Amino acid sequence: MILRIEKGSAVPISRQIGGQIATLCASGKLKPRDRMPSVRELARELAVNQNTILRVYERLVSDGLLEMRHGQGTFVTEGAKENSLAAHRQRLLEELRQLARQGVALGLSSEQLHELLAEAISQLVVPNEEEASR
Amino acid sequence: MKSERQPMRSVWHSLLWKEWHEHKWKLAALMMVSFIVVATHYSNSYNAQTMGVAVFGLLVPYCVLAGTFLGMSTAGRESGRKTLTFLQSLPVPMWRPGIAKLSMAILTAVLPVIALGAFCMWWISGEGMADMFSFEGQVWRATDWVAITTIVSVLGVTSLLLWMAAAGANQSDEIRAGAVGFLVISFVWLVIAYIVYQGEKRHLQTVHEVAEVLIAAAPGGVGSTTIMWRIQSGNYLLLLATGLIGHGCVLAWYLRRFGRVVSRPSRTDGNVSSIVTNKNQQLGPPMRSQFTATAWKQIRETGPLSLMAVGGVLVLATAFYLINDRQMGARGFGEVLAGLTLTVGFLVTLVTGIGVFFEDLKPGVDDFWRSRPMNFSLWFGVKFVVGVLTLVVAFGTLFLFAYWLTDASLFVRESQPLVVVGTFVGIFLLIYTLAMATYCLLRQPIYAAVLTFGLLFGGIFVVSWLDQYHRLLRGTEMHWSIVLALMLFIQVYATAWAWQAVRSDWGWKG
Amino acid sequence: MSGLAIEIQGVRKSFRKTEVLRGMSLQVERGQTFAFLGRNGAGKTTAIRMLLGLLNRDDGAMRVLGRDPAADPMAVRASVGYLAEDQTMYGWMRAGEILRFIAPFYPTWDHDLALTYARDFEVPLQTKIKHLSKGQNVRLGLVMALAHRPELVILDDPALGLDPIMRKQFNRDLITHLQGEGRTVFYSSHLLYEVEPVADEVAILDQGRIVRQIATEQLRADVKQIVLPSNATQALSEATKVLDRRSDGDELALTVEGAEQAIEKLRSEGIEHRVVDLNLDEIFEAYVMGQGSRPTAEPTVDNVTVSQT
Repeated sequence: MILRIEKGSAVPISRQIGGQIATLCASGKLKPRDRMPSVRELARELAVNQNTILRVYERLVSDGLLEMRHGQGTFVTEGAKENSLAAHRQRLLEELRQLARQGVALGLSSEQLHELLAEAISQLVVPNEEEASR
Repeated sequence: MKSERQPMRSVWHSLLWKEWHEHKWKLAALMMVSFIVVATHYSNSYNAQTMGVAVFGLLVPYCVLAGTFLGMSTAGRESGRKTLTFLQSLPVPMWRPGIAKLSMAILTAVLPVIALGAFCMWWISGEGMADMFSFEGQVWRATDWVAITTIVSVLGVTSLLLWMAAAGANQSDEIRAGAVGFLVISFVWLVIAYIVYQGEKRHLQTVHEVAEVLIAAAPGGVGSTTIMWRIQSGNYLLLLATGLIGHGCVLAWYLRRFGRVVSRPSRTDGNVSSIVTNKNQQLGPPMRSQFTATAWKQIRETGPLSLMAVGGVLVLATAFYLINDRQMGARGFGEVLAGLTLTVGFLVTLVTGIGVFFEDLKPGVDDFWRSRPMNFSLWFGVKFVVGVLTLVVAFGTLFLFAYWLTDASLFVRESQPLVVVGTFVGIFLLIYTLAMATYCLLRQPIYAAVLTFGLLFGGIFVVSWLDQYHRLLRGTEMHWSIVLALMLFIQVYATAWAWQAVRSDWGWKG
Repeated sequence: MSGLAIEIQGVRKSFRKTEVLRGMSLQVERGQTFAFLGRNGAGKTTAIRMLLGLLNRDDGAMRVLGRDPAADPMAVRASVGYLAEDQTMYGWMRAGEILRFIAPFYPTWDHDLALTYARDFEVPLQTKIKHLSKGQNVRLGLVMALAHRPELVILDDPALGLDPIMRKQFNRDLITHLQGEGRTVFYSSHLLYEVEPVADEVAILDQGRIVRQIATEQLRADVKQIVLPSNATQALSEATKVLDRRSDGDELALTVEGAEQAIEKLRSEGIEHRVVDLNLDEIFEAYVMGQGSRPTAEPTVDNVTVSQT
């Protein structure tokens, strides 16, 4: 599991870590029943406060992505992929709303915004297909 | 006041301005001390004979102390205060700050001598005391004597300072610079002595004479009585040339070295970690107690200087012996040794006294030990006592050796040898304590040395004044117990001040 | 025993005519990693030296592990691990020698632990201190601050002079050896992005008093920039504390404390606005350089407890 922390970013560190784990679940890189590193290990590796990691894990547990089994550790849940998509859907909607607001402020119409989104998606299609064909 | 907006006119202006600011208080202190000393004699000398001897008696230790301490500070102060890298970064070649520093130091050393000489001239002529005066079998007119003493002192202190600065340049602090300078100077004298010895042993008159001429180039050599005798006999041109060329070379040596040092690059962690994992990661047991730890530290801090002083005294005694008193055998050597032990002992006691808390009170280190849960009384007491003991062991051994060499005849002429030894020990202890106390309060080694010197002579002044007063009042000499009580009082008082300064972090922090 | 490791109440300190601390107050809970932030010269080192009884305060109260450092400095120094800013040690001693030397001064010194830390931190024990690199010097200081198993560790700007690699290593050491063992850590810094991943709570010192003490995570949520039309500022000015105010034509950018309530209020009144998330540097700048309505009354202290394991 490779996580990256951007220091000095406007996004709080706990949200950075939580978001990246959720993405790993959604993309299938973290599979159900995978064992997560312990709070202590991850804190050491990322050089991040243990309490921060603990809070991230707790939130991911409440979102249904992770489960803590007493005495065994933290594991990815069976429904992690679906749950993370649901969580991502919420986050994506929020980010798109921000973008849409900026677009409207710039004077773009609804059609023009849809066009831009379609163009952005079309630029992504190639790598996605490659991945799917593997 | 000058306008802040005006830049200084030239590089020399800037450099000399800086050096003046770093030397002005030293100059003031030296002036003050010199005049206190003269005042002690002014008050109780009545003729040119005593006055002449007094001036000579002041100027010899003055030259040794001022030359040593100002030379030390010229060589080591910038690196000790970590300001050398700043000087190095200036866009001027290093010889310019070097010259500025050296010339201001020489000026500081020389001005009090000249002022003192001028004062004595004025005084002697004013009092009509221009009578004849004899010193070591030669007869002088008092004014001539003062003039020549002054000139020789100026040359002597300049020479010593230059040698000290050149030899000690680029050491990491003043004390180290002083130590290295002392070793180099001892070595130079030993070499000259060896040449003299060889010349005489093989009856090579020219070799012997060449060696005697070489003395003019040696550290402080112009101050030797040999030179004074030569000046009288008219062979001074050769001496002058040797002195000038010799000191010119030393000056060039100083300028080539001053500040030309690449600060040691700190190793990167990566390089060291490979060493670390492989070997040498053993850790000895912890020291048994605070007492052991403090004593260990103090011995490591004071010991090297005492050891070096012992070596230096032996070298100097050998040199002196080879030049002068060879016919006198072991006894003569013993007497020379005893004399040098006292002279060097005075200097080393002063430096050791300053050194007891020298490192502890450096900014930064000060916080390091203060922030530990330590017993300050124990810390102070152990450091004080161990410092004294190191000195006692070092100089006591030397002195016993000298005593043995002379077949226990060192003090035959004294009626109470124990009192003489006791007085010396008492005075040395006083110097040690005063140096320690003044350093703890001033936190500047040079000022501490000057102030100690001043306090010592001020004390002698007070004692002689009391003695006179007593004689006027009772018609007898003052009892020794009064002097002892005074010394004890100063001892206790200075110790108390030093202890307060260490415990409560009092002191001038610049 | 009180739950507070450090308690500072209305402390004042002047040097000659300069007033360095003007009624500074803060509380540090046991077990927390607490970052003490401020610009250079804000008084951080002065406050820390007082915590060890190295300086006396002019006024106010101070408790370190329940003891007054001015009254009982030795007991405080024995139970606290301290690393001074840019700590200078005896250059002639070897790293191993200084550990042996310092050991008898601490009743609770654990020499095996010292050796373990020295190995973990890769301190070369046979090297003289004057030849250690900056990073090794700091880590040797850290060994000395930890080997007597202190309950509280006070570090004065330990990251000063460390390169980014060493800073990360240092943060790691802090997390494994201090947070991992449940010790209280109080450390000062001026590098906010280094502090953020590590600290549970931060306090910002400015002009001699604490202008904010809050959980690190909450600081981000609490201080935000709100951009709104300049004619709509009336809606905010009463209840909200504005740290910084910048106007650009008809738009006004306000950096505010209590952002959630402010945004709620704007939303309920239907005022058009944009919310900008700030990074820690920007938040810090708003506190110490801000052109807002600076509070003249006592500074606010948010008593936020962070969930402990």
